[in-house]
Amino acid sequence: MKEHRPKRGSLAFSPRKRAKRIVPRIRSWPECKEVRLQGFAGYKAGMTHVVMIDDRKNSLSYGEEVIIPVTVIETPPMKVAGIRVYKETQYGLKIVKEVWANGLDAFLDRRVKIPKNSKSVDELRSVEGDEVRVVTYTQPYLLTGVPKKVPDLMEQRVGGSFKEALEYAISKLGKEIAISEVFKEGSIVDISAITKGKGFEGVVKRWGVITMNAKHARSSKGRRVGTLGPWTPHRIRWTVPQYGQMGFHQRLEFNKRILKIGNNGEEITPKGGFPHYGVVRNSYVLIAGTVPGSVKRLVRIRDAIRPPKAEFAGVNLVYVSTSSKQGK
Amino acid sequence: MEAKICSFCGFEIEPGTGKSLVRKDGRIIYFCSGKCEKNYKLGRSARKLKWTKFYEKGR
Repeated sequence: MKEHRPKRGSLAFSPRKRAKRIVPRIRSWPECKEVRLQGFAGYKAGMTHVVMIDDRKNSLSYGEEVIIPVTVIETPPMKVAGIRVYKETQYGLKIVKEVWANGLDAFLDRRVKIPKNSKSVDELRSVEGDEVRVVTYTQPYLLTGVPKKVPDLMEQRVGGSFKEALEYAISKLGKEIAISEVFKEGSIVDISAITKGKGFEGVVKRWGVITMNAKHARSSKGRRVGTLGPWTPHRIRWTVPQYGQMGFHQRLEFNKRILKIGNNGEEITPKGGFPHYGVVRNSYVLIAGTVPGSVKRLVRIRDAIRPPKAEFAGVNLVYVSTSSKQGK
Repeated sequence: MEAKICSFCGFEIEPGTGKSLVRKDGRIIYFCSGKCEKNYKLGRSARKLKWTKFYEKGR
């Protein structure tokens, strides 16, 4: 072994525990002047590739055809179940008022207890607040690829000034919102999801520690860490690579680009359907690059909080591959 | 975007996939799959293989 080398694995994501919920938590929202939702959610269907004209202005292949791998996320319209008005206090944002819609889906009752006598919307108008968020839920019963009927519930921030946002939220209460009302083609987004679970893994796979060499490998101790630490301090430090849960963590990925928003998912479905998913039947989003998590998993899309400075000329898709993903 | 034809099997190549091989004499050969590439490198003749477009009966 060399005397100096970087540590195996990153400690940045410690502790490597299973995520608490399958719905990713969004901890912060960027400011937005447009009056619209700032986030959306969908279900990952699979991947394919597209041919597009390179529109990154500093790119060497600018103006030429490039092949880009894309993730397909099926995004049936989301429904607005409630409005929550927040006020900024010295202890952070606090809810001032909350109003739920009447006549919500029966499936939603399986997820949360819906208040029977909801308050009137007019009560919201007299409230002073700083931020408006709407309680939205997905409609997985519209999907054939996802074996789930109970909606996933989450909050989305509404952009614009407080008054505008509130009026928008009130006008959308109990109604559907489509992905096309939230994002545009070419917009930059952040994506949050729960990664694929790998279960209980050893130290070699979990941390990238090297396997023992020569005689040590033959002594039934081949895939262990060489030492758990020095004699003193007489305890195992948290930085030592050890076995445990790997995967199924919440991860946020910055600055993904939406290449296409479509209404008819069947035009994007490859021959034979997406593996382990099937046919995309609703509206969908094509996102350049990869997205954390397995197929069928909930994916949250949010406005980019650290948008890149790079300039884009505009998306121009030439071809979207629908060839079979199961071999030739 | 021009569609390329596999030099071994003769079928159209899915855009964004396949390989191109530039030979010393300047000829460019396109492969749609590893199967075609392997068969080419093994020195097999596409005219003798039933699954290619170049198959010729009775030879």
